[in-house]
Amino acid sequence: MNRWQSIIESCKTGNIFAQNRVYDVFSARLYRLCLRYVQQEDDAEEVLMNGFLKFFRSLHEFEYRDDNSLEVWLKRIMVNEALMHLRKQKALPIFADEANAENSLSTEMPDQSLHAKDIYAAIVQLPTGYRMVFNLHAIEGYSHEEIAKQLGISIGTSKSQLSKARAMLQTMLKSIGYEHSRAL
Amino acid sequence: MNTAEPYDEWVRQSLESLEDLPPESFKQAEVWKRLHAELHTKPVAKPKVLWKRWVAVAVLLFVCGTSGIMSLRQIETAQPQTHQKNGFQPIKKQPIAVQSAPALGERVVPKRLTKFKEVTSTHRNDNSLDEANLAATKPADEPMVQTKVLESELVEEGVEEKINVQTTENQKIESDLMIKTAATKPKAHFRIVHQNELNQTEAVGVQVVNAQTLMITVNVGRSTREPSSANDYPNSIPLSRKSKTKR
Repeated sequence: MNRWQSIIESCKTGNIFAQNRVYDVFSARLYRLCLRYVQQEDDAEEVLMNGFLKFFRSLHEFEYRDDNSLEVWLKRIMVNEALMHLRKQKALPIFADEANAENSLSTEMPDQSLHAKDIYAAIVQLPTGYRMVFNLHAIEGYSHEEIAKQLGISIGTSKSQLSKARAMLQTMLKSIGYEHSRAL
Repeated sequence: MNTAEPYDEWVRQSLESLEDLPPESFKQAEVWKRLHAELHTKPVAKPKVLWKRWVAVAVLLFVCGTSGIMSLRQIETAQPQTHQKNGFQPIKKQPIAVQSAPALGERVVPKRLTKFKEVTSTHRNDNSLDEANLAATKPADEPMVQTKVLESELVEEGVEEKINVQTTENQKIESDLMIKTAATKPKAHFRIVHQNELNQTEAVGVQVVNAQTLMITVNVGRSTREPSSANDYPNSIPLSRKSKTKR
């Protein structure tokens, strides 16, 4: 039996040490994920805690395939919790803008030496609508159909929001003085 | 190929390098305490509580059921004792007694048959009736002069002397009939007879009363006092159409 598999089985029986192990491994990166969606640190902690609660309580539904499957499942739970939190706060002002802005995106790639923390900070500063669609599509890998379902918008709106988010992120990174290199 | 995809990939890779670094603002231990408190208070206790509740309900039902059965049994056992205290005894089921038929030579005379019933339909002041009554109300022990009155055929009003000659066969049949009548106790049916019919019967002399009983009535002689006119029966009610319609 795999190490993670045995940890998950222990978590199902309510073993505190196993639960603590899962929390220690995944909590930091999941906290960052939550913060990318909700911006506020307190809200991110609340979303994280609710997400872990849901994970431990619904663990009997989880089927272990590999180590990656556990992280994917955890991330999905956290994203759903974050979106639910934003819906409760009515903080999802996504404007229906069907204009396709993908052509306005610069083909230049940013410098590879760009610090990851600055990119992270730039993403967090994006407007909520842009940030949601960018996080879901560019980082989590959701399709536009899935995003449209999750956020209750049309597919066209999702695409336009994504292109606008990319353009805004580029300008933000330029403004902080980073040089861009041309993409291949 | 979409130009946006390498840009998204670059952003994704940059963020993945950040994942292992602990965020500055994140209070990991504090969040774990809250999470631990939430995890180990509510959900684990639920199934145990439910299980205990079911057990409690089952025990309660068992106790109620057994106590009910016990109380019913006590009531059943206490009922005969209370009857004995009060002087009552419960009626025991007994088999129906089968009375054997008497032997052929035996003579069974029920007491009730010796008693005449009053004939209310005919109001007469006939002395012959009194005599007949006297003869009938004699005790059953006097065997020879006993008059047999068949309830369905009470015709012999006005006949002063009647001697019933009974053969040995008739006695047997009679005794059987008496057993039957004693067992069934049918109501006495009296036939209302007109005065003229009575006169006719006197003339006949010998009359077969009933085919079953083969009782022969022998009229020996005539009555000492024969009604000569209608004045002899002052209370007799004429049977006419008027009287029927008045009723």
